[in-house]
Amino acid sequence: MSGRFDKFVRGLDEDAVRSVRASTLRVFNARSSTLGEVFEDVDDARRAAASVKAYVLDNLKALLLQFEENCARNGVTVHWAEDAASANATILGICARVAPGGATVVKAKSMATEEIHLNKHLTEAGHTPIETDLGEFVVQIDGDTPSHIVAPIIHKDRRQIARSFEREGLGPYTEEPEELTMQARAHLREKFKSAEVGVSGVNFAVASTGRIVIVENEGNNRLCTTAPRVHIALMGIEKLLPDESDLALFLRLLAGSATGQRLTVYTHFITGPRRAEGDGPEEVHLVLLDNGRSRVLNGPYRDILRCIRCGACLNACPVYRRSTGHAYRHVYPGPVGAVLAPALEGVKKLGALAKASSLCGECKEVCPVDIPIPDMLLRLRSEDERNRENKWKWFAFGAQNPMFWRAGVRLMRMPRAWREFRNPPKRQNDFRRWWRGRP
Amino acid sequence: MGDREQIMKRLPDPKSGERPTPAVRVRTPLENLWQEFGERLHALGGRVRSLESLGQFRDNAVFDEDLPESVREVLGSPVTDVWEAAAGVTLGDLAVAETGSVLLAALPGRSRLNSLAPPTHVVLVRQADIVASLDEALARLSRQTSVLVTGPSRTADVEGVMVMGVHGPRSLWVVPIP
Amino acid sequence: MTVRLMLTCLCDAFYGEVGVAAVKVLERSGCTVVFDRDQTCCGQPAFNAGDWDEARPVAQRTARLFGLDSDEGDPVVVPSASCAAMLRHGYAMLGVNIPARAYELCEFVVDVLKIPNWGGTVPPRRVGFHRSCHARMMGLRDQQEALLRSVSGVEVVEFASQDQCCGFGGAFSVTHGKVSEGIGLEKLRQLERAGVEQVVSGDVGCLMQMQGLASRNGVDLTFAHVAQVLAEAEGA
Repeated sequence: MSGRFDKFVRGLDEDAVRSVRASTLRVFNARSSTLGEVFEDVDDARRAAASVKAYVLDNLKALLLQFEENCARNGVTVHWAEDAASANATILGICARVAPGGATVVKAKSMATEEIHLNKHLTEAGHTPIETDLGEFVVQIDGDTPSHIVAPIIHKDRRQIARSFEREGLGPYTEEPEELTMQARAHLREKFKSAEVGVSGVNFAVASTGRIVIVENEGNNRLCTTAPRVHIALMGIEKLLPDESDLALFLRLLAGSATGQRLTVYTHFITGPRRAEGDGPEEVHLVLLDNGRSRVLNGPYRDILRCIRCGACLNACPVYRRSTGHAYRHVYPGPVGAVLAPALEGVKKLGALAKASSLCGECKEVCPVDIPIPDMLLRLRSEDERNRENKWKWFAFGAQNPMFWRAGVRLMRMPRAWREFRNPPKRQNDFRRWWRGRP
Repeated sequence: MGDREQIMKRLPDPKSGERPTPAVRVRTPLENLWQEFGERLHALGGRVRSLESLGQFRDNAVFDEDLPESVREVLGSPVTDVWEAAAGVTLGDLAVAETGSVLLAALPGRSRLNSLAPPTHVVLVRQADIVASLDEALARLSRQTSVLVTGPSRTADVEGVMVMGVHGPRSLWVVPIP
Repeated sequence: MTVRLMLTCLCDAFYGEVGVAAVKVLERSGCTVVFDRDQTCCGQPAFNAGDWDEARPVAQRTARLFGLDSDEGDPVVVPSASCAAMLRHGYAMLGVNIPARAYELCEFVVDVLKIPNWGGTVPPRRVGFHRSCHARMMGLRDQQEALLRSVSGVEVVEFASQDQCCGFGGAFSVTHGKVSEGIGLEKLRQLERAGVEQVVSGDVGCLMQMQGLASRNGVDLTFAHVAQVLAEAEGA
């Protein structure tokens, strides 16, 4: 009785599984050792971050208004986007104005832009989006999708990347990571110089100052948000923090949880467009994306909006590790995706994702903002009508009628789906008979 | 109704209540800040260097206008194209011992790309301008756009193998000055 | 002290010997064990699957049957962190509120009966202890492992990915069989690599999963519930 998820896993390439296993385990271990070095009590830190994010969600309306006001004061143009269509229309509008013949748009890694399928819309409108994060660049030239929210190509190995680079004419065939990386660097450098528009996401936005904070390791994000004349940042409305004094805790937690680093190489604190410095964008636009978030905020899964997109839950999840991100068939995979996807798009459409979990709870233990994912998965399952199967009526009947139960339990057999992979247990001892036979 | 109005309408009214101010204990260095800083920077692949080492970039670097006069003399004439320079030399506003980071604000006379485009980035930081923790550093964040640089550029996208200098500088030197 | 034993549906169906061992452990600890033959199941299978309308009356009946519908009463002890977690956490989610009187077996022995060491002897063996996910999530610190370690002859061996799920997850094991198999095989690999001879856990679901995979794949390991090792050791 294998659904789409399990079917995908059955067809998986062993190489992809091996790659994903190695990467997720490596970062999973690095996370706990680094966070243990940084914080005296890691769980304390997670709970503290959870309380700040809970406060943000409780006061989102007021904080967004404050943020908007401060952005305006800083010279940042704020746009509001109800849904993906509106966000795309806004971004396309800016690009069309800036470069009527079609803009070259250099892109930094942003899951929000994946969520709205921005690249597809940019291309259809005659613009040229170019992913500049190395992993996203590989995804783009392969016509693939990212399989992890932090490390987009953990499902690929060097041979696949080498073949892709050779196909794109980036240089002589090589499988050496250093050489491949330098080929990408040289190729993308020209794009940074010529692009009219740079698009990025936002990791944290500070309500009290209107500051946009972006973290990265490669430097492409800084280049995207510095070199072109126009910078457009897309941000989920939940990404706020109240004050700059909150940043240190979250920056440490994000880096430690995402990659096992103390901090990412670059933490960019963007106030607004260039002022008296020699360079920087002339225009900075911030697009606030709702796309279902306000509805989630008013429902039982609101706590998933605390998520800071660190990917730690993916790295900790035994299901993700065995299945790889593409099994989830959604821009947000893994434990966070199993809640966020059906929460945003409906249980009817994506409720099956909530069942792709053994409820082991590792995700909750590593989440830097302590999101109770397992409980949310259980609740999602209870909302999906397809889970109200006949067999549970029979089960409930038997469990409320002890005579039937006592008779039935002796005849119980594991279903065929069990026996596909495992031998069934042998019923060797009857507890009830033993109990009856005692003096 | 515009997008803004639609979204605002759906957002619940703010809850009254105390803003949480959790005190989270972090392991930060208490003394020997420059030594701690140097060790962290070194572990990241960066280096603490001396002013003398700048000589090799004479006439081959870009640099911010607020560098000390003596340093600008050593560097000679700046390269016109930041993308062609061998090094970018900038003044850092703060060093952070906890993380081995340097904080740079985009102040007048500075160019953001100077610290980003050339393959070597040299940051001069005054001896007194060092703090122990990230919290202290961020408390002194300039109102201007700023960047906190924690080591040279890197990626591990190809099979988790670390490669330096993918887009940003491959080499990061920090030069403490009086 | 009188305790009411919850057998669990899995022990009822397949692992009667674990129920027997649990009784022996409780009686050796000085308890009088009550077993109500009208008990059936805590309701977790339907709850986890998402059919809360069917799970709820089962939970309500079980609560009543074990006296958990009144504030005062005997403690309820179950040789399963999974069922204990259902009682302590799942029931509240169903709206069935019960007093805090339900315990996992080892938790009861250590925390309530105040027996931190079990003692006794078993023939020597290298044991890999699998702490079930529910045990972790319930906050069962190390009661199971502590009792196990106190038995002479038991050498508890560390192994990689020790705290990782075995892949059972209830119905997950049959709805996502390939994934479940993969997770379980990974667990068995780590156990073998560490030179474990016997795998011990406090949850029969986990044992059923690992044992079923091991025998299908020719992996040479034996399996036991922690209650069985304690009963065999005849300690306390």
